[in-house]
Order: sequence, then C-alpha cells, then structure tokens
Amino acid sequence: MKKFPAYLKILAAIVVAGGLAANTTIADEYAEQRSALLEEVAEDVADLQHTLGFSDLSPAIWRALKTVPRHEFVPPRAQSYAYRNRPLSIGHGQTISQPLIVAIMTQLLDIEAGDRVFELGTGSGYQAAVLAALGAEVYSMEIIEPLAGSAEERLQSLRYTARVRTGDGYHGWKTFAPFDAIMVTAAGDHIPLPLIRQLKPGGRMILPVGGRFLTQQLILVTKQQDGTIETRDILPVSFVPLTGEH
Amino acid sequence: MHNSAPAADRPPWFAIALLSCCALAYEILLTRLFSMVHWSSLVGLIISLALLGYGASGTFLALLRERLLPRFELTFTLNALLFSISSIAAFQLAQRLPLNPVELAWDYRQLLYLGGIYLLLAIPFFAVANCIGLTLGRFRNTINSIYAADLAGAGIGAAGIVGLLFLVTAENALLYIAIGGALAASLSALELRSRQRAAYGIASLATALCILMTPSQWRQALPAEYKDLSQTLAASGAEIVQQQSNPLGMTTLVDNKVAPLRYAPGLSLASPHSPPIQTAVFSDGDFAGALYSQATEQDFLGYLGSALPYYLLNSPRVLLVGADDNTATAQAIAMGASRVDLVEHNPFLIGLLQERLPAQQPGLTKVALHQGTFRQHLLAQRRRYDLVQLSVAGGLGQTSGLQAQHEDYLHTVESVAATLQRLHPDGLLATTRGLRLPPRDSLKFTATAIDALKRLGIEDPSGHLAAIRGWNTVTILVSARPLTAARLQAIRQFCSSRMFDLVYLPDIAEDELNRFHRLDTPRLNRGITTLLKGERETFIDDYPFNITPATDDRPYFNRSTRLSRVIDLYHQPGRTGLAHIDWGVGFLFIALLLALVSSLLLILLPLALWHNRPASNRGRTFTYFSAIGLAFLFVEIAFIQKLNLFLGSPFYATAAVLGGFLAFAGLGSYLSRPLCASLGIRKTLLLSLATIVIMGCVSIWLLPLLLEGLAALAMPWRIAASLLIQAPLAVAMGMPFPIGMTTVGDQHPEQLPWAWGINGCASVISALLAVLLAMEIGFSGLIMVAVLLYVIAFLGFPSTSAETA
Repeated sequence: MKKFPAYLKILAAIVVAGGLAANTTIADEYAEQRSALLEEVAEDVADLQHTLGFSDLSPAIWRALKTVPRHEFVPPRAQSYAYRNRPLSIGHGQTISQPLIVAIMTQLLDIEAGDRVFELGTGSGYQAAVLAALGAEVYSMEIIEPLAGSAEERLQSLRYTARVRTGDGYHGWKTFAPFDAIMVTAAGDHIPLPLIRQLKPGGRMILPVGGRFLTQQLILVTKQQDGTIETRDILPVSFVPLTGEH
Repeated sequence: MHNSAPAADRPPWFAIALLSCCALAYEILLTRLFSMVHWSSLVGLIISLALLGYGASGTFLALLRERLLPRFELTFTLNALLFSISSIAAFQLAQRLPLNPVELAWDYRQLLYLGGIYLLLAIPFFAVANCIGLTLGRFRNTINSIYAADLAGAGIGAAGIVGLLFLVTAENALLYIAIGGALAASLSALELRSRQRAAYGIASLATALCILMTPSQWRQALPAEYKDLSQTLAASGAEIVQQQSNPLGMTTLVDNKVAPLRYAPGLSLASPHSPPIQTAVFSDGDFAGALYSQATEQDFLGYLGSALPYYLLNSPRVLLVGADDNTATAQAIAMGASRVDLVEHNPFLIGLLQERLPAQQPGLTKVALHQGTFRQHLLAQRRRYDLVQLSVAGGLGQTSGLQAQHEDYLHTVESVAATLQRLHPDGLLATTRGLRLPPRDSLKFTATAIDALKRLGIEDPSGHLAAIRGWNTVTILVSARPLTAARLQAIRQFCSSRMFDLVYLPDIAEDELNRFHRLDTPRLNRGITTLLKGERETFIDDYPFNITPATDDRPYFNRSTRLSRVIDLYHQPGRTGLAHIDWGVGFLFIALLLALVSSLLLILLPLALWHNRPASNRGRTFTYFSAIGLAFLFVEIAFIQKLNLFLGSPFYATAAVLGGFLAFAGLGSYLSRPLCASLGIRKTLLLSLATIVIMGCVSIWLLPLLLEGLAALAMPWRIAASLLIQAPLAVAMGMPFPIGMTTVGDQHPEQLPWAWGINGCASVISALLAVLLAMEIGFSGLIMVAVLLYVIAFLGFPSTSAETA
C-alpha cells in the first residue's frame, strides 16, 4: 500500500474537518433560522387568537415544525428564503405554503400520532413531512407527475414515512380510507363528495381558499359522529370589528 | 442647411403615418398577446409604461439633436428598422422574464422583472418616437401636417388591428406589424429622395426577409407558469382539444382523461350527485368555466346556490348573462325553463355553446343565443323574463381583486334598474357570486339593488330581497314586488334540504342564521340588514371596504379596497391581509409611481444639461405640453367608456373612439396652420378651447341621452353616430399640440424634443391616472378635469409674443 506523506494526511484532515464544520455551520444556521421563524409564527398565531380560537401552537406541532427542514423542500434558488414566513414557488406554477398557514391548518386538523391522513396535492412534500413528523400515517396524492416523483424521493431520503401517488385526488384514496383527517392544499369550486365519504365520523378536513400565494380564508369541515357535516369559516386576518356589527 | 440634409424638402408623411399605424396597432396587439401571458390587470400596466419610450425619445433627441439632425435620413431609417426588429424581439424576451405578480408583495426581485419587461417593450415605441420627434425637429414649418400624419396613421392602426385580428392570429398580426416597420424605412428613403435609397431599400428588404424567416414560436404568446391554463396543462393527462383566437381573446378547451374537470361552483355538501366530467374552458389562459357534453348527468345542478330561483318559479322564461360556459344554460334547461336566452359577446363561445346545448327537456320551447352585451340586449330586445341570472359563480371571485380596475356595466344601479323593468311583475333577478369574507361584493350588490329599487319608486326595499349562502357562494334575489310568504317558505325549504344558510329574508329570525356553514359572526346578515333597515349611508361610509353602489359613470363594481386601509392590511400578522387588497388597483398605483419617477427623470435630465442656456419659457412649455398631454387621454378614455355601452362592445368602442378620435384630431392638426394664418395663433387656440369646453360639457349630458335614443340602430349607424359625436371635440383637440410645437420651434427650437418628451410622459401618466380618477369622480368628472386642463394649457401657452406666426 502506498504511503502518503504526513503533510498530505494533515491537509486531507483539515479539508475533511473544514467541510464537516462548514456543513455543521450551515445546518446550525438553518436550525437557528427555523427557530426564529417558529417564534414569528407563534407571535402571529397569538395575534390571530380571536379568529382562530386558539392562541398557542400545540407542543407536538411546535416540535414538528422545528424539526422539518423546510429548505430541503424548496428549489435551490429559493433556499435562502426558506425560513421566511412566506410562500415560495416550487415550479410548475405550484407553491410551498406560508409556514403560518401550514401551522394553522395542521393545528386545526387536530392530528394525533397514528391518525390516518389523506393529503390532496403533495406539492414539494413539506406538509406531508410535517404530518409525518406528528406521527400520522400520511397518504398523499399529486396530479403533477414530476412533483409527485421528486416529493416521494425527498420524503424517503429525509426518512419521513408518507405514501405518495400520482393521480386524481378527487376520488380520495379508497384503499386506505376512511381517514381521520384530510388536507386539501387548494380549494376548488366545490368540495369533492368522495372525500366527504372517506372521512371518518368525527374526522376533519381543511381547505384554504384564495390564490396560490394569498390565502383568504380557511374552511374547516367536520363530520359529526352521526355523519352530518358542518363547516366553519376561519379568516386568518385580524380585521377590526365591522361597523354595524353590534 | 445641414451637410447631408435630405434631397426632398418635404417630410416623409407616409412613412410617419405607417410607423404610427404600426406603433398603435402594436400597442393594442401587445395588450392581446400579453393577456395570454400574464394577468390582464398587469398587462395595461406593462404596456402603458412601455409607452414611456416616447418620453425617453424626447430626452434622447433633446440631448443628441445637434448630432442626429445632420444624419436625419440614416437615423430615421435605423429607427424604423429598430422598431421592426424590436417589435418581435422585445416581445419574445419580455415574456421570458420569470415575472410572477403574486410574488410582488413578498419578493422585490419581481419589481426588477417588471422593470425589465417595461424597458424591453419601451424599445419599439422609443424607435418610432425618435422617427417622429426627429421629423418634427427637422421640418419645423410643417409640424401640423407631420402631426396630422402621425395621428391619422395611429387612427388607422387602432381601427385596423381590431379588424385584422378577426382575420389572422395575433402571432401573424405581429409579423405584419414588424414588416410594416421595415416597409416604413424604405418608404421614408423614397419620400425623402435619399441618395442612399438603394442601400436603405436593401437594408429594409433584408430586415423584412429576416423577420419572415423567424420561427413562428418567437411570436407565440405562452402563458406564464402561474396562469390557470399552464397549471392545468401541467397535470397528467391534460390536453388541448380546441383553441381559437379573435380580438376578444384566446379561447382554449382542455380535456383530461386522468384527472377530468368536474365543475360545480358551490355544490351543496348535501348533494348526493357528483358533477360529471367536463371540458375546461380558458379565456386568455384564465379559467372561464366548463362545458358539458350533450347528454350528461345534471341532477347536481339543483344543488347549486344558483338553483334557488328555479324553485320559486314555474317554467320561467330565463335570460342568462355572464356565463363563459354552459353551466347556467344546462341548469336552466334541467330546472324546467320554458325559454332560455343567453347573451355572450364572444362569437366563438356562442358557436361552442350552440354545439353543446344540453339535452332538451319537455316544455322547453327555445334556447336562443345572442351575441352582444347584456345592456345592449336589454335596450335592443323588448322581451320580458321571469328570471334574469346576472352571473353564475364562475371563478368564484377569489382573484384578490384583480378585476378591481376593470369597468363592469353589468352590476351598476342603472343595469339592475333596467333589468328589473324587463321582468314580469313576479319575476326575479338573481346573482350568485363567490363568498368573499369579510363581505364586500355581496354587500355592494345589495346596496346597488337598493338604489335601483329606489329609482323605480320603491321606498322600502326590505321586502324585495332575499339572500342565502353556501360554504363558498352567496345567492341574492331581487324582486320588483315584495316577496310573498309562499316564496319565503320555499326559500327556507330549499336551504334546509340542501344545507344552505339563510342570510337575509324580510322576516328572518336570529336563530335561523349560521346553521350549517358557521362564520364567527353572521357578518353578511348584519351588513344586509343595516343596508336595508339601518343607517345605510353611514354604514357604507364607515365600512372597511368600499361598498358604494357602482353606477354607469363609475362602473367599478369589483373595487373594494379602501386606500386608507391598505397599510392596515399590509401589517396584518404574517401579511395575511395582502389577500384582501385589490391588486388590480395596486398594480395601477405601482405603474403610476414608476411613470412619475421615470417622467421626472426624463424631463429633468435635459434641463440639467441646459444649465448654461437662457431659461425663458421653460415653465410655460412644461405647463402647456403636460396639460394637453394629460387632457387628451382623459377625454379619449372617458369617451371610450361612455361609448362602450352605446356600441355594445368595449372592442368596437376602443376601435371607434381611438380610430375616430385620432383621425379627427389629425384633421384638426392639419387645419391648425391655415386657421392660424387667417385668425392668428391666440384666436385659433381660443376657438379650439371654446369648442373643447362646449363640446366637453355637452357630451356629459348628450351621451347618456344618445344611449337611450339611438340604441336600437344597427351597428354601422351606431358607429357612424359615435364618430359624428366625437368629431368636433377631436378636431379641436388636435390643434393645441401642433400650434404649441410650431411656436416653441420658432422661438426655442432646442426645446422641441423636450416638449415632445413631456407630451409623451404626460400621456403615459394620463392613461394610468384616468382610471384612478374615474374611480373617484366618474367619467363625467374626468371630462371636466380635462376641460380644466385645456384652460390651464391656454393660460400657460408658451408664446410671449402671441402673434408671431
């Protein structure tokens, strides 16, 4: 075996150590940014408490959002913005939702470990990762094939357990129905009736209404134990009381 | 005489006219092409700003005038060729910039992309303006005829492009315009009897050949990634099955076998029926609706909010409007209508609807499709209806106020009043819209309906309205007679069986509210009740959104953001308030700001370089040319809107007004010289001012009367009438510019390009400001402001010795 000079070994060690240190520094930096983002989201949630009906994020959601590396779910050109409280483009005209909206929607679904969750619209896979980090069994459907493929790979490489399939989410995912919760990433003109059918009694479904970047309101659909449906409108905006509302 | 001055001592009138024709046609064509690429609300902004190329040309010529005038022929030819080449190149490059307007609020890089698009598109206009500005400077004694050729050419271009787009695709129209630029280059060489005309001719021919050989993809408008069509086509299995373009837009039909479209706006959660597979319809890349096949499952149509009026009427005669698809037609037929009239302005869509009329039901006598606008239909037809559906919930109004700056003559007080008059005594007017929270357009429609009912002499309209809502739609019914107890009962039954919430009934009880789809407070009920029974005016004034009823003079139904609330909305937690801003108006403000800053720079730059020259008359030159630049477009835009209703189509109105106005103004420009020679400058100006003041004021009262009196005439007569109405005003408005330019050219020739640039900048600012002003003071107010500006211009006329001509 060829013997390398000592100075080369030292040099190699410095390079490796430097690389590791750099990676650690970047990872630390992202972790710091993530914590700062989470503080910001928590403040926003507190400001919106009168409209949301809660003032704090649950500890489980806090932990999930603190661990899921959002920068891994955005294109390289957008990574420097990954920990800003804003939506980002992920290509194909799709977006990764604003962290505040992800936090609110996830909390409104009231997920518990072991819950079976269907997601309509995988996108980059970030929301699926957050749900998986909460311990949910995640089934996600995406109609844009390249997005579904890359999200599946990403989730696997980051070791989040979520099943992703390319297809029409309108009919839900019969094989794994019924679901404890359903998350629709963008509301259409109507709520697909098959999704209502695939919701367990007591289950919840959430839909954001508005443009892809600008969420105007959230619709929470609850299936009661007797099968009746109730919907609630949640406005994630703090409007001053409207004149005439006495 | 300059060293290489043209052999001819006449300006290249035909080349100027051709270039102006191409430039204006290009401007209108860009509106068409970019409407396919981006949101239409953004398109006006991009193109109006691009016209700052005219302002930049003024500065460019002011700085380089001494160097360019001796090379007039060469400079003219090169600029004409620059227009020719850049008209395609700028369009192609501009649409490659990854502008995503929805990110503007988050990502300031988007402003750079916007700026980049604006700079690229300014190049062709800069080139044409150089040709005209340089000719004005070179042939100072014939300014009136040069300007006349410019305006006449522009008029032909405005009218011609609308006709051309009926014959060829927008991509091919772009090709013809580019070739027109090359043709103008060789035409100028011939007109100027240039010694190098052979060389210029070869250069023009080579340019034209190169343009002809460009791949057609270079002229193709591709929808941006954020457009609905792009997103639909990104889905697995999506394919375009039909596509057609005309001046009204590009209509695209998309099918998807993997994930088919199922369109059912606001379908009740109680519906046992899912909607069938449909074909998606896109207009300029934006989702417009869905087409059903002829024999398809339609039971779900009874579970839409828009089905409510059919439960209150027996075999109604129905008038439908605002439907880009056949949902409303299918619903009317399925729900037992005895006759259906549908008004649609796009002939291509009429053809599609005709092909795909849903299966006929027993009792249905006729489905009649009418091409035109709703208001025109009301004026031209005398038929009465049991039900008029003003709109279906297509698009659901969740577009963040992108239509806020667009005129809407459907939802005005006059429109609602006219509709109510065309109903049978027990007939209903119904509208179903997307539920926007906090409520705004639903309250605005209620306020509009209340004003309309009051105009019809109904003092207490509270018994004439009903409103229900689903999870994402609101349906409002208006009746000319008070709603009967039986009808109120039927509405209650419809809501309880189909999971719709009652919002307002004349006798509604508190415990009937907020049952299925819960809001934190029954906001909509509170709002409608206050409008009907409370302090209406105070409520409208104090409401955080603009819910003032829209009128024909201020037809901005979709505008809801109050300027005073924008800062509050911006500072909402997580910037979630941004979703509630009217981005259409926001884009206008951004454009105006950019136009003001750019104009200031372009106007101040020559001044900074003239620091060693006498400052005489600069203030007057500035006042005069900026005032007439602002006023000209104010009047033009106000007339387009006023005649829009009369002609029944914004496209005919734009073509007739732009074409007619510019051509008549060209005539005025031409006449200004002989008039000045016989009457003198001051008297000619006074004559034109008096005509503008009188005709401006008269038109405010005359135009609405014309709408009523001549509306039944055939289209060619209506176009002729609209041209006659404009003629005296436009002829008078064509005079101040050449008179001012001739005077400045005589006394301060170095200020000529500067004045040309000021006028260009003012025109850009005017186009943007006109819409913002019209929202506040209406189109009549806009004409009055224009008249006032002409008076200011007269007072600030740049001549110190008035009778020098």
